[in-house]
This record gives sequence, C-alpha cells and structure tokens, in this order.
Amino acid sequence: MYLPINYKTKLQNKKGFTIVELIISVGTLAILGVLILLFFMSSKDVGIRTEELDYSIYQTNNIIESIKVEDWEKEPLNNFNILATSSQKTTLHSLYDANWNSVSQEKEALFSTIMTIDKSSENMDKTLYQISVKVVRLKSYFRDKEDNPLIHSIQTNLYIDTISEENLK
Amino acid sequence: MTEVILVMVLLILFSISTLTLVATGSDSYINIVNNNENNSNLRIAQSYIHTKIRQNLEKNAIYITTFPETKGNSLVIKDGYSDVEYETVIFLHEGEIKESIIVQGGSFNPEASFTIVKIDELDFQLVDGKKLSFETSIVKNGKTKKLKSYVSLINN
Repeated sequence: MYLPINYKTKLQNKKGFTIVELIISVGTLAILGVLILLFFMSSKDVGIRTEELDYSIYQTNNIIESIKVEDWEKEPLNNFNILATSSQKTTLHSLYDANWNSVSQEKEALFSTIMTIDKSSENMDKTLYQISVKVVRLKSYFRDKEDNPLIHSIQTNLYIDTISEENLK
Repeated sequence: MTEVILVMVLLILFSISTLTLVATGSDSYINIVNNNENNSNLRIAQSYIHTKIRQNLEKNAIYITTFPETKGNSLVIKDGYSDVEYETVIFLHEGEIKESIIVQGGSFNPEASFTIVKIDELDFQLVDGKKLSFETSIVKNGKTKKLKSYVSLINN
C-alpha cells in the first residue's frame, strides 16, 4: 500500500503527551476551576446582598408605617430595646437572625436594626419627630473587610401623637 | 508500562475534574437564577400591592374579603370612573396573584382576570383597623421565603 512519507513517519512516531504537558493541562484546569468557583461564589454573594437589602427595605418601611399608626405593642415595634435615652433623643435597637426572626441575644443575631427618635418640636399633644432607622449586618460579607456593614437606612419626619416612655418600653 | 498507567490516571483525573466542574457550575448557576427569580417575584408582588393601595388610599376604599372561588383573603379596592363604581379585586388563584376589575355588586369570576406574578401564598390582614399587613411567600425545595409589609391606613 502506498502511503506518503510524512504519514509513515507519523505512524512510526509512538511519542504521546509528556508528563509535563499533562501536569500543565491539569494545572490549567485547576486554575480555571478555582476562577469559575470564585465567580459563582461572588454571584451567590450578590444574590445574598440583594435579598438582605430587600428585607431591610421592607423592615425599615414597616417600622415607619407602624410608628405612623402608633402600633407599639405589636411587631416590629415591640422587638425594640432602649440603648440610650434623653429628653430629646432616644436610640433603640432590635436583633434578628438570618431568617429575620426576632432574637434577644447578639450571638444568635445576624442583623441589628437601630432606630433613633429625635424630638423636633412639640405642639399640644402632637409632636414632630425626626426618625432614622438603619439596618446593620453584624457579620462581614464574603471577601469584604468591612465590619458591621450598613445594609439600608431611612430618615423621615413624622408629626404624630407624643410618644410616651410607656410606648418605648 | 508504569508511564502508560500514570498517563491514564492523569487523563481520568482530568476527565473527572472537568465533569465535576461542569456539573457544579451548572447546579450553582441554576440555583442562583432560581433564587433571583423567586426574590424578583416576591418583590414584584409586594411593589404591585403597595402601589395599588397607595393609589387608592381613601376613606373606606380598601377592605379585605373572601370569595368561595379563591384561596385565602382577597383585597378589594373601590374606585369610580364616570359615575360607575368599580372594584379591583387582588387575589391568589392557582399559584398566581391576579387582578380582576368588576362593577360594584357584579359577579366575581377568578378566570376573568389579569395575572400579575407567580407566587405560592398571599395573605392580607387588617391589624386593629388601622394597619394593613400583607405577606407574600414562595415555597421552593421545602424552604419558604416570605416578605411582609405594613401600610398604615391612617387616611382611611
């Protein structure tokens, strides 16, 4: 059978991949694998951040809406504890776990909601309050060095019935 | 001979690594996409109900009722155009939030409605007659994701 000289040479050549070539291939695959996994982990982190931002926005809005109707004895206002208080300003906080259930101990908590109620002016039984609510994450995000990152904050002015100390307790 | 075995082992390792990488990547991607879609649906449902309530925050214009044709509570918003009173009913039917517009006192048919978004559970509650709470949930792989909102009906 007639075969070209080049083809014969190729058939006689029994040399395959060298061990170095194979190690380089496996190494390249490993590096690519790590990069792809990092990409997926970052995507998952973005998803977590988005979800937490959603919950934080709803949580802060719910707090403001509950203050408007002075619903101090039901959630979410009944979860707050006083951190500091003066005649003008009161700071309160509440703790939540990863599923946004209220918890009492900081070691169980992943989120902290801090509310500041600042009295601006009083007129008869109604008072103008400057209210600020912020949600803070008590643990850092993936590949983020910032401790206790702020997730969301909201400020508003409400002209409502004067808040008594009993309400805040 | 040893060299051949080593090469074969390396090739098998190479193949297994590639397959594992593709399988893991695909699973992660599916999870991320599903998660984003669920979050998005929850957000759309909440925003839609919020907007509807805010647009019609008038005295006695919003109330909660139940219909035998639907599962759970439904939200009814009264509105009027050209001297005709209409009611917008927001309800859950066959895993979808739907909106139906009927003439006040007319018959309600869940099939004659617009689909807003796919969701598993929807619940409306009136708290002390002054705060409307609504909760939307999606159940996936035994896990329930919930978003709850309050709207003060202080002008109502």
